[in-house]
Amino acid sequence: MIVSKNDVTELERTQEALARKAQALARANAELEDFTYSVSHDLKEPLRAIEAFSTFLAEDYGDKLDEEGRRYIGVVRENAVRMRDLIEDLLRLSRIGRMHHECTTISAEALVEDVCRDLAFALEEKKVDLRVQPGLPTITCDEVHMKQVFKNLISNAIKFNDKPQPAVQVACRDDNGAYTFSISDNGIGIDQQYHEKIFKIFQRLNRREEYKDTGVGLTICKKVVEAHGGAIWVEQSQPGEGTTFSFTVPKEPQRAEEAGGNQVGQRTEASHHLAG
Amino acid sequence: MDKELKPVTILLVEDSPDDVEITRRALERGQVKNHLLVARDGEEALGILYARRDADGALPGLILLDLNLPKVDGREVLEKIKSDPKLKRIPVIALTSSTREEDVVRTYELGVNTFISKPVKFEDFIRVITTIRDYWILIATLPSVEHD
Repeated sequence: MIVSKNDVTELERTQEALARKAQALARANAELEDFTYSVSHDLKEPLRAIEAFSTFLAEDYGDKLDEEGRRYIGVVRENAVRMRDLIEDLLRLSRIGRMHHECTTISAEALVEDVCRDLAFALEEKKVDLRVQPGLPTITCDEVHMKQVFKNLISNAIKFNDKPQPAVQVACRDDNGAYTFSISDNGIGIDQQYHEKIFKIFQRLNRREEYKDTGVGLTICKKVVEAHGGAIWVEQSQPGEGTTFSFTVPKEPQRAEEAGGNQVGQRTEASHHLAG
Repeated sequence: MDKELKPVTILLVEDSPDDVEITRRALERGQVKNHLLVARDGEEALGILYARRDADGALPGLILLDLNLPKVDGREVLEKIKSDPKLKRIPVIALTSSTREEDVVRTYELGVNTFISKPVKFEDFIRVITTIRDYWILIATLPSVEHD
């Protein structure tokens, strides 16, 4: 085959154009995350005033209102707190993209123990029968973010559960290049048609008065898992029959460029670009 | 504790009148005996501090500083305070909405004594204020900055 000089320059041009596109995309992504972050912060300030002044209203004038009036104030305060939770979840989500992706090798067992300590109150209150498979492997990951994945999945397993004694199991299997972790519960389950939808931001399946939830937790899980080069999915679930979530963590930490999907490394680079 | 009996002069640097009122009330609810000076921007804050310093008057025992301020920014105020031989001993607590890592690091580099992000819930804010009182006013031993 004869390769002409023209072909080579054509190839070089295409590669350059591709690199430029990738850069522009990374920059747009970083800008979007910067935007989310700023918006979330600026939203907190008026919210703090709404919460505080409705508290003052209840404290100073509560006795001048009738029961219905006091209930209205309660509704305002409850919603302020709900909005705070939403904003904090949004911040958490945007932070995944903003922070450096620093991988360390840690024991998944210690990570899960750590999560259980954080969730001790909920575990005790709901009398959860939690079983963690002994000898969970060591994994290479961003510890803070991966902890969030386990925490969100385990707390969902407890939260979306109507049994007198929720049962939660954490297990892991070795699948050649990756470890597959699974978190199973005997909770309310998820209808087949929602198995993919639930990873979308603000997607909730239950009425608010039944299960308090911001609808951001699983989106965070997906973002973290994919940034590590893994995948997350509903392994099995039927309404009333519990749920098993699975996700993979590659044994060899993948470079962000290879991981596809959410590329934390590139974003960080773009943030530097913006700052400079 | 006898330290508690003496009201502490606090300089609050805060541009939002709502936040000033919230802080005032939290101090009251947290039973922090205080004399509150309020500066609405960085320029005013430095004006108050320099005037008191130059008149050899009573300097505040504690500064609560918001970082995002009009005119002279909170970081600049902090830098000026921490590079002034007379003012640098006053504990400065950054009270801000930010939890941004860059902000936290930068503020500590400028010499802030503590960085606290303002909680949304008023009850949580009272807890923050009483914790500040317990630590900075009741527990910590500081060089005397208040001249009587």
